[in-house]
Amino acid sequence: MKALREKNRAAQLAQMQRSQQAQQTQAAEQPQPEPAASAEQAAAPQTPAKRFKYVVEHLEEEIEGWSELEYRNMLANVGHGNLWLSHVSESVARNPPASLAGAVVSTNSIQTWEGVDLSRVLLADPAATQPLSPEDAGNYDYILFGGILGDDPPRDRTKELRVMGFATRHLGKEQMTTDTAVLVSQIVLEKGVPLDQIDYVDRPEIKLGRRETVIMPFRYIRLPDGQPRLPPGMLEHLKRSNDLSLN
Amino acid sequence: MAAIISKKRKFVADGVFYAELNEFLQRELAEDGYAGVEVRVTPARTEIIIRATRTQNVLGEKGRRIRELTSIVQKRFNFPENTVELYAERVNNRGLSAVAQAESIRYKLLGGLAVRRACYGVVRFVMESGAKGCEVVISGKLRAARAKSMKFVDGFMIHSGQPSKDYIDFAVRHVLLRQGVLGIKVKIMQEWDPSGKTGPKKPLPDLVTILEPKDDEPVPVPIPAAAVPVTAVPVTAEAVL
Repeated sequence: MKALREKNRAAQLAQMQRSQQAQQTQAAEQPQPEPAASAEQAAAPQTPAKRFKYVVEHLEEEIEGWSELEYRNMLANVGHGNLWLSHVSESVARNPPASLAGAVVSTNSIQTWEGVDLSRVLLADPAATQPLSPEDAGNYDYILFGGILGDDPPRDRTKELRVMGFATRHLGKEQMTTDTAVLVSQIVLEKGVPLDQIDYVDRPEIKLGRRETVIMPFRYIRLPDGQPRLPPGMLEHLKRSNDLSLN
Repeated sequence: MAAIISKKRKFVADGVFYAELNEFLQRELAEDGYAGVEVRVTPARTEIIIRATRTQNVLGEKGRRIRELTSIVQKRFNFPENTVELYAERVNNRGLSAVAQAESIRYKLLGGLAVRRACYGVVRFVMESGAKGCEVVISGKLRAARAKSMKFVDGFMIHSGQPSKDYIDFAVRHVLLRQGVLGIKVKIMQEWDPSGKTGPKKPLPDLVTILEPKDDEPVPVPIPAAAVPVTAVPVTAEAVL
């Protein structure tokens, strides 16, 4: 089984090299882009906007509460079949939440998934040196997000995935929520907007009541009215969570 | 204590003594509303005044607990016999003590009260005790939740300048729950109190008091003087202008 996987990977690498060479010759033959070409056109020259596959390593036992709201938000934005949840627990894989129909769920880590070209996987890593850019859309098909735990300061769970040798890109200095990370990657890769041209709001203070606010220590996409872009239902979830006992 | 030590070392040693004493009493008397300690050194003995909201618990039955604390302090810091005395003093207004309120929230959360209820209760109590403003922040990450800071405010709060050091009482406490550790921060802004008992004596710098104009004194009408004949004065040789 392992030998078969190794053979598969070798075949994939050889295919990658061939496709890279083909790309290089294609780029050389391409006519010069027009001076008025926008960033979107440069990122997707021949094909219409490519749909990426967003892979999220879910490390907790269940999917509930805020993580379910975030996954639902991601699914609604990236589309049916484009959200993959890897490394989930057995109980989740057997019984995935009904609201996440359309997400691909698996107990395996991404390395063992069939049909995935590991050289076309990009790892979103805060410790990477290069930012995610629209040019990466041409070279990669999958983007992997790992270590979702919601700590502040972040606990760097991504290091477990880092050692697997994927190409890495960072999404900025501040930690984002998982759904924000997926949405930002989608804007950069599928819509061709550079990372630093997206409007963000860091550590927003969200008003929950007349004398009550909550500060979420993450980076969010900024809506035109200055508010952070939260997943639908998150505000109610935050209000309700304050009514719970903590013990 | 009998050895002669330099002034610098003495001050440092006093500070270290106060710090250790405060830390010990804070851990020991957390449930009794401990709110601070004051050390007074007199030639005969050292007096340690413990401020707490529930002095009865600090004293114990028939003064047993406070005697135990006295002997602990005396043995730890090598005080000679009968040179250290501990007194318990009730905090006059526990609604204005940030330390007392932070501990109160801590026990409420440990007891299983909902966050909103615990914090609103404390904020309301503080405002009813006559504070100008109150802010409670609970931060942290519990299992199966995103890290966040929950903030409950009421009234008026300043953040910068010397008045923020005079007017604001601030306390931080950790609450160790089964699922994780949370931080509690309580900030209470006191009212200006010229007598100095429940607040600072100096008013806020931007407080302008417009005084009532004083009643004008009636200006006396000048009385024309009676005509006085002018007599010629002989001019002497010394009179030089």
